[in-house]
Amino acid sequence: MINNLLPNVNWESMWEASLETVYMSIVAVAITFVLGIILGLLLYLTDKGNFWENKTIHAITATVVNIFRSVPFIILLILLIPFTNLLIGTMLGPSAALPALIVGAAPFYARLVEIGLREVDKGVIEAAQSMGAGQWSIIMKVLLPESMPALISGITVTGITLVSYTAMAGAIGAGGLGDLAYREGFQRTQPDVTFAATVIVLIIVFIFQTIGDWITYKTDKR
Amino acid sequence: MISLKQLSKIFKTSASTITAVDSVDLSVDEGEIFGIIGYSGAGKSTLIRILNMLERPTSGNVTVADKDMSSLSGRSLREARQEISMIFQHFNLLWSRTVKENIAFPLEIAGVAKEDRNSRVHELIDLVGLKGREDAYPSQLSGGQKQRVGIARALANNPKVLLCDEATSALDPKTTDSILDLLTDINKKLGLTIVLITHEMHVIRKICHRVAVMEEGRIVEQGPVLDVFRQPKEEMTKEFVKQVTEPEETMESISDWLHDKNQGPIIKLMFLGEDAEQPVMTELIRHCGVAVNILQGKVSKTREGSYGTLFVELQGEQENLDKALQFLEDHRVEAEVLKND
Repeated sequence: MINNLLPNVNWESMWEASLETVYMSIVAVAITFVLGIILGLLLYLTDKGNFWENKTIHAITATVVNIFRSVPFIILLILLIPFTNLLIGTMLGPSAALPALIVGAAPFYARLVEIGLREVDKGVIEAAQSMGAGQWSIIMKVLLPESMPALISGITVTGITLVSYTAMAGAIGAGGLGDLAYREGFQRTQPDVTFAATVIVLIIVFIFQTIGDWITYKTDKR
Repeated sequence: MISLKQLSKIFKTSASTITAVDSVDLSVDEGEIFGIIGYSGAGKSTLIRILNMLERPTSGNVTVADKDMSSLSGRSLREARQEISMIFQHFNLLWSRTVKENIAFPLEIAGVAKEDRNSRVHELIDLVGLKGREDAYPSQLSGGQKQRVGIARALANNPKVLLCDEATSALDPKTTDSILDLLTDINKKLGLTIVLITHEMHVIRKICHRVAVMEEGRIVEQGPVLDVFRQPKEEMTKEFVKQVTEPEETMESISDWLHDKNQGPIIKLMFLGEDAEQPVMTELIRHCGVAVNILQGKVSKTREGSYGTLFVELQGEQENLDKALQFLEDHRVEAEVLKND
Protein backbone atom coordinates (compact mmCIF):
# COMPACT_ATOMS: atom_id res chain seq x y z
CA MET A 1 0.00 0.00 0.00
CA ILE A 2 2.71 2.40 1.02
CA ASN A 3 4.52 1.71 -2.26
CA ASN A 4 1.43 2.85 -4.18
CA LEU A 5 1.33 6.12 -2.28
CA LEU A 6 5.08 6.75 -2.65
CA PRO A 7 5.87 5.07 -5.99
CA ASN A 8 9.33 6.55 -6.53
CA VAL A 9 10.77 5.90 -3.09
CA ASN A 10 13.64 3.43 -3.02
CA TRP A 11 13.52 2.30 0.60
CA GLU A 12 16.97 0.90 0.56
CA SER A 13 18.61 4.21 -0.39
CA MET A 14 16.19 6.02 1.94
CA TRP A 15 17.41 3.83 4.83
CA GLU A 16 21.03 4.44 3.86
CA ALA A 17 20.45 8.21 3.68
CA SER A 18 18.74 8.12 7.09
CA LEU A 19 21.73 6.35 8.61
CA GLU A 20 24.04 8.96 7.10
CA THR A 21 21.96 11.78 8.57
CA VAL A 22 21.84 10.12 11.97
CA TYR A 23 25.59 9.47 11.83
CA MET A 24 26.41 13.08 10.93
CA SER A 25 24.05 14.42 13.58
CA ILE A 26 25.21 12.21 16.43
CA VAL A 27 28.94 12.62 15.85
CA ALA A 28 28.52 16.37 15.37
CA VAL A 29 26.38 16.66 18.53
CA ALA A 30 28.93 14.70 20.58
CA ILE A 31 31.89 16.81 19.46
CA THR A 32 29.89 20.06 19.67
CA PHE A 33 28.90 19.17 23.24
CA VAL A 34 32.54 18.85 24.33
CA LEU A 35 33.91 21.77 22.30
CA GLY A 36 30.98 24.00 23.19
CA ILE A 37 31.43 23.35 26.91
CA ILE A 38 35.14 24.14 26.68
CA LEU A 39 34.46 27.35 24.74
CA GLY A 40 31.55 28.25 27.03
CA LEU A 41 33.72 27.73 30.10
CA LEU A 42 36.40 29.92 28.56
CA LEU A 43 33.82 32.65 27.89
CA TYR A 44 32.44 32.37 31.41
CA LEU A 45 35.70 32.07 33.33
CA THR A 46 37.43 34.97 31.58
CA ASP A 47 34.42 37.21 32.18
CA LYS A 48 34.46 39.98 34.77
CA GLY A 49 34.52 38.76 38.36
CA ASN A 50 35.32 35.12 37.56
CA PHE A 51 38.41 32.96 38.09
CA TRP A 52 40.39 33.80 34.99
CA GLU A 53 39.12 37.33 34.49
CA ASN A 54 40.94 38.54 31.39
CA LYS A 55 39.51 41.20 29.12
CA THR A 56 41.69 40.38 26.10
CA ILE A 57 41.05 36.62 26.03
CA HIS A 58 37.38 37.17 26.70
CA ALA A 59 37.08 39.69 23.88
CA ILE A 60 38.95 37.46 21.40
CA THR A 61 36.89 34.38 22.27
CA ALA A 62 33.65 36.35 22.11
CA THR A 63 34.55 37.80 18.71
CA VAL A 64 35.49 34.43 17.21
CA VAL A 65 32.30 32.91 18.57
CA ASN A 66 30.19 35.74 17.21
CA ILE A 67 31.77 35.57 13.76
CA PHE A 68 31.23 31.83 13.33
CA ARG A 69 27.76 32.11 14.75
CA SER A 70 26.81 34.82 12.25
CA VAL A 71 28.12 33.32 8.99
CA PRO A 72 25.20 31.63 7.18
CA PHE A 73 25.77 27.89 7.29
CA ILE A 74 25.67 27.31 3.55
CA ILE A 75 28.45 29.90 3.13
CA LEU A 76 30.43 28.43 6.01
CA LEU A 77 30.29 25.06 4.23
CA ILE A 78 31.89 26.53 1.13
CA LEU A 79 34.45 28.58 3.06
CA LEU A 80 35.57 25.50 4.96
CA ILE A 81 36.12 23.28 1.90
CA PRO A 82 39.94 23.70 1.93
CA PHE A 83 40.03 23.08 5.68
CA THR A 84 37.87 19.96 5.29
CA ASN A 85 40.06 18.67 2.47
CA LEU A 86 43.09 19.11 4.69
CA LEU A 87 41.48 17.43 7.70
CA ILE A 88 39.47 14.59 6.16
CA GLY A 89 41.19 14.24 2.79
CA THR A 90 37.98 14.62 0.82
CA MET A 91 35.00 16.93 0.65
CA LEU A 92 32.47 14.20 -0.18
CA GLY A 93 30.54 11.89 2.13
CA PRO A 94 29.06 12.25 5.61
CA SER A 95 32.40 12.51 7.46
CA ALA A 96 33.41 15.44 5.28
CA ALA A 97 30.38 17.35 6.56
CA LEU A 98 31.52 17.06 10.19
CA PRO A 99 34.09 19.91 10.36
CA ALA A 100 31.60 22.41 8.97
CA LEU A 101 28.77 21.12 11.17
CA ILE A 102 30.91 21.41 14.29
CA VAL A 103 32.40 24.78 13.42
CA GLY A 104 28.89 26.04 12.73
CA ALA A 105 27.28 24.63 15.88
CA ALA A 106 29.94 24.79 18.61
CA PRO A 107 30.04 28.62 18.88
CA PHE A 108 26.26 28.72 19.06
CA TYR A 109 26.27 26.08 21.79
CA ALA A 110 29.15 27.85 23.59
CA ARG A 111 26.87 30.87 24.09
CA LEU A 112 24.14 28.64 25.52
CA VAL A 113 26.73 27.05 27.84
CA GLU A 114 27.87 30.50 28.98
CA ILE A 115 24.29 31.49 29.79
CA GLY A 116 23.79 28.24 31.70
CA LEU A 117 26.99 28.77 33.72
CA ARG A 118 25.99 32.32 34.60
CA GLU A 119 22.84 30.93 36.19
CA VAL A 120 24.88 28.98 38.74
CA ASP A 121 24.44 30.57 42.15
CA LYS A 122 27.56 32.58 43.08
CA GLY A 123 26.87 31.71 46.71
CA VAL A 124 27.38 28.02 45.97
CA ILE A 125 30.72 28.73 44.30
CA GLU A 126 31.69 30.79 47.32
CA ALA A 127 30.65 27.94 49.63
CA ALA A 128 32.90 25.57 47.68
CA GLN A 129 35.77 28.07 47.96
CA SER A 130 35.19 28.36 51.69
CA MET A 131 35.63 24.57 51.92
CA GLY A 132 39.02 24.86 50.26
CA ALA A 133 37.99 23.68 46.78
CA GLY A 134 40.39 24.53 43.97
CA GLN A 135 39.32 25.85 40.57
CA TRP A 136 39.33 22.45 38.90
CA SER A 137 37.10 20.96 41.64
CA ILE A 138 34.75 23.90 41.36
CA ILE A 139 34.48 23.49 37.59
CA MET A 140 33.95 19.72 37.72
CA LYS A 141 31.92 19.43 40.91
CA VAL A 142 29.98 22.69 41.02
CA LEU A 143 29.78 24.61 37.74
CA LEU A 144 29.09 21.72 35.36
CA PRO A 145 26.74 19.61 37.54
CA GLU A 146 24.78 22.66 38.71
CA SER A 147 24.25 23.88 35.15
CA MET A 148 23.60 20.41 33.68
CA PRO A 149 19.88 20.88 32.86
CA ALA A 150 20.75 24.07 30.93
CA LEU A 151 23.66 22.29 29.20
CA ILE A 152 21.38 19.41 28.16
CA SER A 153 18.48 21.53 26.95
CA GLY A 154 21.04 23.67 25.10
CA ILE A 155 22.55 20.67 23.30
CA THR A 156 19.03 19.50 22.40
CA VAL A 157 18.29 22.79 20.65
CA THR A 158 21.73 22.69 19.01
CA GLY A 159 21.20 19.06 17.97
CA ILE A 160 17.99 19.94 16.17
CA THR A 161 19.74 22.78 14.38
CA LEU A 162 22.46 20.28 13.43
CA VAL A 163 19.93 17.93 11.83
CA SER A 164 18.80 20.75 9.58
CA TYR A 165 22.44 21.68 8.89
CA THR A 166 23.08 18.09 7.69
CA ALA A 167 20.38 18.59 5.07
CA MET A 168 22.19 21.66 3.80
CA ALA A 169 25.51 19.86 3.89
CA GLY A 170 23.84 17.24 1.72
CA ALA A 171 23.47 19.82 -1.01
CA ILE A 172 27.24 20.05 -1.43
CA GLY A 173 27.83 16.33 -1.46
CA ALA A 174 27.70 15.08 2.09
CA GLY A 175 24.90 12.59 1.47
CA GLY A 176 22.07 11.96 3.88
CA LEU A 177 18.38 12.75 3.69
CA GLY A 178 18.86 16.35 2.55
CA ASP A 179 20.94 15.16 -0.38
CA LEU A 180 18.33 12.53 -1.27
CA ALA A 181 15.43 14.99 -1.03
CA TYR A 182 17.30 17.48 -3.23
CA ARG A 183 18.72 15.21 -5.92
CA GLU A 184 16.14 12.42 -6.14
CA GLY A 185 13.14 14.45 -5.04
CA PHE A 186 13.56 17.96 -6.39
CA GLN A 187 15.86 17.60 -9.38
CA ARG A 188 14.06 14.50 -10.74
CA THR A 189 10.58 15.83 -9.85
CA GLN A 190 9.67 13.05 -7.48
CA PRO A 191 7.79 14.93 -4.75
CA ASP A 192 6.98 11.69 -2.92
CA VAL A 193 10.73 11.17 -2.26
CA THR A 194 11.02 14.69 -0.83
CA PHE A 195 7.96 14.03 1.28
CA ALA A 196 9.26 10.72 2.68
CA ALA A 197 12.69 12.26 3.43
CA THR A 198 11.02 15.17 5.24
CA VAL A 199 8.94 12.84 7.38
CA ILE A 200 12.03 10.89 8.38
CA VAL A 201 13.90 14.11 9.27
CA LEU A 202 10.93 15.10 11.41
CA ILE A 203 11.01 11.73 13.17
CA ILE A 204 14.74 12.14 13.90
CA VAL A 205 14.14 15.65 15.29
CA PHE A 206 11.26 14.37 17.39
CA ILE A 207 13.42 11.60 18.86
CA PHE A 208 16.23 14.10 19.65
CA GLN A 209 13.80 16.43 21.39
CA THR A 210 12.21 13.66 23.44
CA ILE A 211 15.53 12.27 24.62
CA GLY A 212 16.82 15.78 25.42
CA ASP A 213 13.70 16.71 27.37
CA TRP A 214 13.81 13.47 29.29
CA ILE A 215 17.47 13.91 30.33
CA THR A 216 16.84 17.56 31.26
CA TYR A 217 13.92 16.48 33.42
CA LYS A 218 15.99 13.74 35.06
CA THR A 219 18.93 15.99 35.90
CA ASP A 220 16.90 18.95 37.15
CA LYS A 221 16.45 18.54 40.91
CA ARG A 222 15.65 22.17 41.64
CA MET B 1 41.98 31.23 68.29
CA ILE B 2 41.27 34.28 66.18
CA SER B 3 42.99 37.61 66.38
CA LEU B 4 42.52 40.64 64.20
CA LYS B 5 44.88 43.60 64.40
CA GLN B 6 44.16 46.96 62.82
CA LEU B 7 42.20 45.26 60.10
CA SER B 8 40.87 47.43 57.28
CA LYS B 9 39.16 46.76 53.99
CA ILE B 10 38.65 49.52 51.48
CA PHE B 11 36.59 49.03 48.32
CA LYS B 12 37.60 51.34 45.51
CA THR B 13 35.28 52.02 42.63
CA SER B 14 35.84 54.63 39.99
CA ALA B 15 33.28 56.88 41.64
CA SER B 16 34.10 56.44 45.32
CA THR B 17 36.02 54.63 48.00
CA ILE B 18 34.15 52.75 50.69
CA THR B 19 35.78 51.76 53.94
CA ALA B 20 33.87 48.59 54.75
CA VAL B 21 36.06 47.59 57.68
CA ASP B 22 37.92 50.28 59.57
CA SER B 23 40.89 49.45 61.87
CA VAL B 24 39.24 46.57 63.67
CA ASP B 25 40.97 44.92 66.62
CA LEU B 26 39.34 41.76 67.83
CA SER B 27 40.20 38.51 69.51
CA VAL B 28 38.14 35.39 69.91
CA ASP B 29 39.07 32.67 72.38
CA GLU B 30 39.05 28.97 71.71
CA GLY B 31 35.66 27.34 72.31
CA GLU B 32 33.88 30.67 72.46
CA ILE B 33 30.74 31.75 70.65
CA PHE B 34 31.43 35.28 69.53
CA GLY B 35 28.71 37.43 68.00
CA ILE B 36 29.08 40.48 65.79
CA ILE B 37 25.93 42.56 65.51
CA GLY B 38 25.22 45.47 63.21
CA TYR B 39 22.74 46.75 60.68
CA SER B 40 23.20 45.86 57.03
CA GLY B 41 26.04 47.86 55.55
CA ALA B 42 27.92 47.98 58.85
CA GLY B 43 30.71 45.87 57.35
CA LYS B 44 30.12 42.73 59.39
CA SER B 45 29.68 40.55 56.32
CA THR B 46 32.99 41.78 54.88
CA LEU B 47 34.66 41.23 58.24
CA ILE B 48 33.57 37.59 58.55
CA ARG B 49 34.58 36.91 54.93
CA ILE B 50 38.05 38.23 55.65
CA LEU B 51 38.45 35.50 58.28
CA ASN B 52 38.63 32.82 55.56
CA MET B 53 40.07 35.12 52.89
CA LEU B 54 36.99 35.10 50.68
CA GLU B 55 37.78 38.79 50.91
CA ARG B 56 41.36 40.04 51.14
CA PRO B 57 42.03 42.76 53.71
CA THR B 58 43.53 46.03 52.53
CA SER B 59 45.72 46.23 55.62
CA GLY B 60 46.11 44.63 59.03
CA ASN B 61 46.69 41.16 60.41
CA VAL B 62 44.40 38.15 60.51
CA THR B 63 45.41 35.12 62.53
CA VAL B 64 43.08 32.14 62.65
CA ALA B 65 44.07 28.89 64.39
CA ASP B 66 47.71 30.04 64.59
CA LYS B 67 47.89 30.76 60.87
CA ASP B 68 48.56 34.17 59.40
CA MET B 69 45.75 34.02 56.87
CA SER B 70 46.68 36.97 54.69
CA SER B 71 50.09 35.46 53.90
CA LEU B 72 48.53 32.25 52.55
CA SER B 73 47.62 31.51 48.97
CA GLY B 74 47.05 28.57 46.65
CA ARG B 75 47.27 25.16 48.25
CA SER B 76 48.18 26.38 51.73
CA LEU B 77 45.14 28.69 51.76
CA ARG B 78 42.87 25.86 50.59
CA GLU B 79 44.20 23.64 53.37
CA ALA B 80 43.73 26.38 55.96
CA ARG B 81 40.15 26.87 54.77
CA GLN B 82 39.35 23.26 55.57
CA GLU B 83 39.80 24.20 59.23
CA ILE B 84 37.53 27.23 58.96
CA SER B 85 34.04 26.27 57.87
CA MET B 86 31.24 28.59 56.97
CA ILE B 87 27.45 28.48 56.91
CA PHE B 88 25.35 30.94 54.98
CA GLN B 89 22.10 32.85 55.14
CA HIS B 90 20.86 31.22 51.94
CA PHE B 91 22.42 27.83 52.76
CA ASN B 92 24.27 27.59 49.42
CA LEU B 93 23.71 23.88 48.99
CA LEU B 94 24.26 22.15 45.65
CA TRP B 95 20.75 21.45 44.39
CA SER B 96 22.07 18.74 42.07
CA ARG B 97 23.19 16.66 45.04
CA THR B 98 21.24 14.81 47.73
CA VAL B 99 21.64 15.58 51.43
CA LYS B 100 24.22 12.79 51.70
CA GLU B 101 26.15 13.96 48.67
CA ASN B 102 26.11 17.58 49.83
CA ILE B 103 27.61 16.59 53.16
CA ALA B 104 30.19 14.42 51.38
CA PHE B 105 31.23 17.34 49.16
CA PRO B 106 33.87 18.91 51.46
CA LEU B 107 35.18 15.40 52.17
CA GLU B 108 35.65 14.81 48.44
CA ILE B 109 37.52 18.09 48.22
CA ALA B 110 39.74 17.07 51.14
CA GLY B 111 40.45 13.77 49.35
CA VAL B 112 38.88 11.46 51.94
CA ALA B 113 38.46 7.85 50.78
CA LYS B 114 34.97 6.71 49.83
CA GLU B 115 34.30 4.32 52.74
CA ASP B 116 35.51 6.89 55.25
CA ARG B 117 33.32 9.48 53.60
CA ASN B 118 30.22 7.33 53.97
CA SER B 119 30.72 6.61 57.64
CA ARG B 120 31.52 10.26 58.38
CA VAL B 121 28.40 11.39 56.49
CA HIS B 122 26.25 9.06 58.60
CA GLU B 123 27.74 10.40 61.83
CA LEU B 124 27.00 13.95 60.73
CA ILE B 125 23.45 13.17 59.65
CA ASP B 126 22.82 11.79 63.14
CA LEU B 127 24.48 14.79 64.77
CA VAL B 128 22.30 17.37 63.04
CA GLY B 129 19.13 15.29 63.28
CA LEU B 130 18.45 14.55 59.61
CA LYS B 131 18.07 10.80 59.83
CA GLY B 132 15.69 9.52 57.16
CA ARG B 133 16.30 12.48 54.83
CA GLU B 134 19.68 11.31 53.49
CA ASP B 135 18.50 10.82 49.93
CA ALA B 136 16.32 13.91 49.67
CA TYR B 137 17.33 16.78 47.41
CA PRO B 138 17.62 20.29 48.89
CA SER B 139 14.48 21.37 47.03
CA GLN B 140 12.53 18.83 49.09
CA LEU B 141 13.71 20.24 52.43
CA SER B 142 12.43 23.05 54.64
CA GLY B 143 14.64 26.05 55.43
CA GLY B 144 15.61 24.66 58.82
CA GLN B 145 16.52 21.30 57.34
CA LYS B 146 18.60 22.99 54.65
CA GLN B 147 20.56 24.86 57.29
CA ARG B 148 21.10 21.57 59.14
CA VAL B 149 22.63 20.17 55.96
CA GLY B 150 24.74 23.34 55.78
CA ILE B 151 25.93 22.78 59.34
CA ALA B 152 26.67 19.09 58.76
CA ARG B 153 28.61 20.00 55.63
CA ALA B 154 30.55 22.65 57.54
CA LEU B 155 31.50 20.17 60.27
CA ALA B 156 32.56 17.39 57.90
CA ASN B 157 36.30 18.08 57.99
CA ASN B 158 36.42 18.66 61.76
CA PRO B 159 37.06 22.40 61.55
CA LYS B 160 38.44 24.46 64.40
CA VAL B 161 36.32 27.50 63.62
CA LEU B 162 32.77 27.83 62.32
CA LEU B 163 31.76 31.10 60.69
CA CYS B 164 28.03 31.84 60.54
CA ASP B 165 27.08 34.47 57.97
CA GLU B 166 23.54 35.51 59.03
CA ALA B 167 22.82 31.80 59.33
CA THR B 168 19.35 32.23 60.82
CA SER B 169 18.21 35.41 59.09
CA ALA B 170 16.18 33.55 56.46
CA LEU B 171 14.43 31.35 59.01
CA ASP B 172 11.27 31.82 61.04
CA PRO B 173 11.63 32.40 64.82
CA LYS B 174 10.90 28.84 65.84
CA THR B 175 13.33 27.34 63.32
CA THR B 176 15.89 29.99 64.29
CA ASP B 177 15.72 28.76 67.88
CA SER B 178 16.18 25.12 66.88
CA ILE B 179 19.22 26.02 64.76
CA LEU B 180 20.65 28.11 67.61
CA ASP B 181 20.16 25.17 69.98
CA LEU B 182 22.01 22.95 67.52
CA LEU B 183 24.90 25.45 67.33
CA THR B 184 25.09 25.65 71.15
CA ASP B 185 25.07 21.88 71.28
CA ILE B 186 27.90 21.58 68.75
CA ASN B 187 29.89 24.25 70.56
CA LYS B 188 29.65 22.23 73.79
CA LYS B 189 30.15 18.78 72.29
CA LEU B 190 33.00 19.58 69.95
CA GLY B 191 34.49 22.64 71.65
CA LEU B 192 34.18 24.42 68.34
CA THR B 193 34.89 28.15 68.19
CA ILE B 194 31.96 29.94 66.54
CA VAL B 195 31.91 33.43 65.08
CA LEU B 196 28.53 34.64 63.95
CA ILE B 197 27.22 37.83 62.45
CA THR B 198 23.62 38.87 62.74
CA HIS B 199 21.31 41.84 62.98
CA GLU B 200 19.14 40.13 65.57
CA MET B 201 19.95 40.73 69.24
CA HIS B 202 17.88 37.65 69.97
CA VAL B 203 20.60 35.48 68.42
CA ILE B 204 23.32 37.18 70.47
CA ARG B 205 21.28 36.91 73.64
CA LYS B 206 20.53 33.26 73.16
CA ILE B 207 23.89 31.72 72.36
CA CYS B 208 26.81 34.15 72.46
CA HIS B 209 29.41 34.50 75.19
CA ARG B 210 30.75 37.79 73.92
CA VAL B 211 29.48 40.35 71.49
CA ALA B 212 30.91 43.14 69.35
CA VAL B 213 28.71 45.92 67.99
CA MET B 214 29.65 47.18 64.56
CA GLU B 215 28.78 50.50 62.97
CA GLU B 216 30.20 51.99 59.78
CA GLY B 217 33.05 49.49 59.65
CA ARG B 218 34.19 50.07 63.20
CA ILE B 219 33.62 48.06 66.35
CA VAL B 220 32.02 50.58 68.67
CA GLU B 221 31.57 48.35 71.67
CA GLN B 222 32.46 44.83 72.75
CA GLY B 223 32.38 42.67 75.81
CA PRO B 224 30.62 39.80 77.56
CA VAL B 225 26.97 39.68 76.49
CA LEU B 226 25.55 40.36 79.95
CA ASP B 227 27.83 43.37 80.49
CA VAL B 228 26.80 44.86 77.19
CA PHE B 229 23.17 44.26 78.08
CA ARG B 230 23.66 45.80 81.50
CA GLN B 231 25.43 48.94 80.45
CA PRO B 232 25.19 49.62 76.76
CA LYS B 233 27.36 52.67 76.20
CA GLU B 234 26.78 53.49 72.58
CA GLU B 235 23.46 54.62 71.12
CA MET B 236 23.70 51.79 68.56
CA THR B 237 24.11 49.19 71.28
CA LYS B 238 21.16 50.57 73.23
CA GLU B 239 18.98 50.20 70.18
CA PHE B 240 19.98 46.56 69.76
CA VAL B 241 19.51 45.81 73.46
CA LYS B 242 16.01 47.28 73.24
CA GLN B 243 15.17 44.70 70.55
CA VAL B 244 15.08 42.00 73.17
CA THR B 245 14.29 43.79 76.42
CA GLU B 246 11.47 46.09 75.48
CA PRO B 247 8.46 44.94 73.57
CA GLU B 248 8.01 47.15 70.53
CA GLU B 249 4.85 48.79 71.75
CA THR B 250 6.36 49.64 75.17
CA MET B 251 7.05 53.32 74.75
CA GLU B 252 3.71 53.92 73.10
CA SER B 253 1.72 52.42 75.93
CA ILE B 254 3.96 53.93 78.60
CA SER B 255 3.58 57.41 77.13
CA ASP B 256 -0.14 57.25 77.84
CA TRP B 257 0.66 56.72 81.48
CA LEU B 258 3.28 59.45 81.51
CA HIS B 259 0.77 62.02 80.38
CA ASP B 260 -1.85 61.02 82.91
CA LYS B 261 -1.75 63.59 85.75
CA ASN B 262 -3.35 61.43 88.39
CA GLN B 263 -0.64 58.84 88.59
CA GLY B 264 2.20 58.26 91.00
CA PRO B 265 5.84 58.10 89.91
CA ILE B 266 6.55 55.83 86.98
CA ILE B 267 9.79 53.93 87.19
CA LYS B 268 11.75 51.83 84.74
CA LEU B 269 13.55 49.02 86.55
CA MET B 270 16.37 47.02 85.08
CA PHE B 271 17.15 43.63 86.52
CA LEU B 272 20.39 41.87 85.87
CA GLY B 273 21.88 38.48 86.37
CA GLU B 274 20.63 36.71 89.47
CA ASP B 275 18.70 39.74 90.69
CA ALA B 276 16.26 39.23 87.87
CA GLU B 277 15.28 35.93 89.36
CA GLN B 278 14.72 37.17 92.92
CA PRO B 279 11.38 38.33 94.24
CA VAL B 280 12.41 42.00 94.52
CA MET B 281 8.90 43.27 93.90
CA THR B 282 7.38 41.30 96.76
CA GLU B 283 10.08 42.57 99.11
CA LEU B 284 9.52 46.12 97.92
CA ILE B 285 5.82 45.99 98.67
CA ARG B 286 6.35 44.34 102.05
CA HIS B 287 9.14 46.61 103.31
CA CYS B 288 8.16 50.01 101.99
CA GLY B 289 4.42 49.96 102.20
CA VAL B 290 3.87 51.09 98.65
CA ALA B 291 1.46 49.72 96.09
CA VAL B 292 3.04 48.63 92.83
CA ASN B 293 1.15 48.76 89.61
CA ILE B 294 2.93 46.82 86.85
CA LEU B 295 2.54 48.50 83.50
CA GLN B 296 4.80 46.56 81.20
CA GLY B 297 7.70 44.19 81.46
CA LYS B 298 9.94 41.61 79.90
CA VAL B 299 12.67 39.31 81.12
CA SER B 300 15.15 37.72 78.67
CA LYS B 301 17.61 35.00 79.38
CA THR B 302 21.20 35.23 78.19
CA ARG B 303 23.75 32.46 78.58
CA GLU B 304 25.21 34.06 81.71
CA GLY B 305 22.01 35.11 83.41
CA SER B 306 18.81 37.03 82.97
CA TYR B 307 18.18 40.55 81.97
CA GLY B 308 14.86 42.29 82.33
CA THR B 309 13.04 45.58 82.33
CA LEU B 310 9.90 46.37 84.19
CA PHE B 311 7.83 49.51 84.06
CA VAL B 312 5.91 50.12 87.27
CA GLU B 313 3.86 52.84 88.83
CA LEU B 314 4.36 53.32 92.60
CA GLN B 315 1.51 54.50 94.74
CA GLY B 316 1.78 55.59 98.38
CA GLU B 317 2.94 58.31 100.77
CA GLN B 318 5.91 60.41 99.64
CA GLU B 319 7.97 59.09 102.55
CA ASN B 320 7.30 55.51 101.52
CA LEU B 321 8.04 56.28 97.91
CA ASP B 322 11.48 57.64 98.85
CA LYS B 323 12.05 54.57 100.93
CA ALA B 324 11.12 52.41 97.98
CA LEU B 325 13.62 54.11 95.67
CA GLN B 326 16.33 53.70 98.29
CA PHE B 327 15.40 50.03 98.64
CA LEU B 328 15.76 49.46 94.93
CA GLU B 329 19.16 51.13 94.92
CA ASP B 330 20.32 48.93 97.81
CA HIS B 331 19.28 45.84 95.92
CA ARG B 332 21.35 46.70 92.88
CA VAL B 333 18.33 47.20 90.74
CA GLU B 334 18.80 50.05 88.37
CA ALA B 335 15.85 52.37 88.53
CA GLU B 336 15.12 55.26 86.26
CA VAL B 337 12.31 57.59 87.26
CA LEU B 338 10.43 58.48 84.12
CA LYS B 339 7.84 60.65 85.79
CA ASN B 340 7.59 62.05 89.30
CA ASP B 341 5.15 64.89 90.00
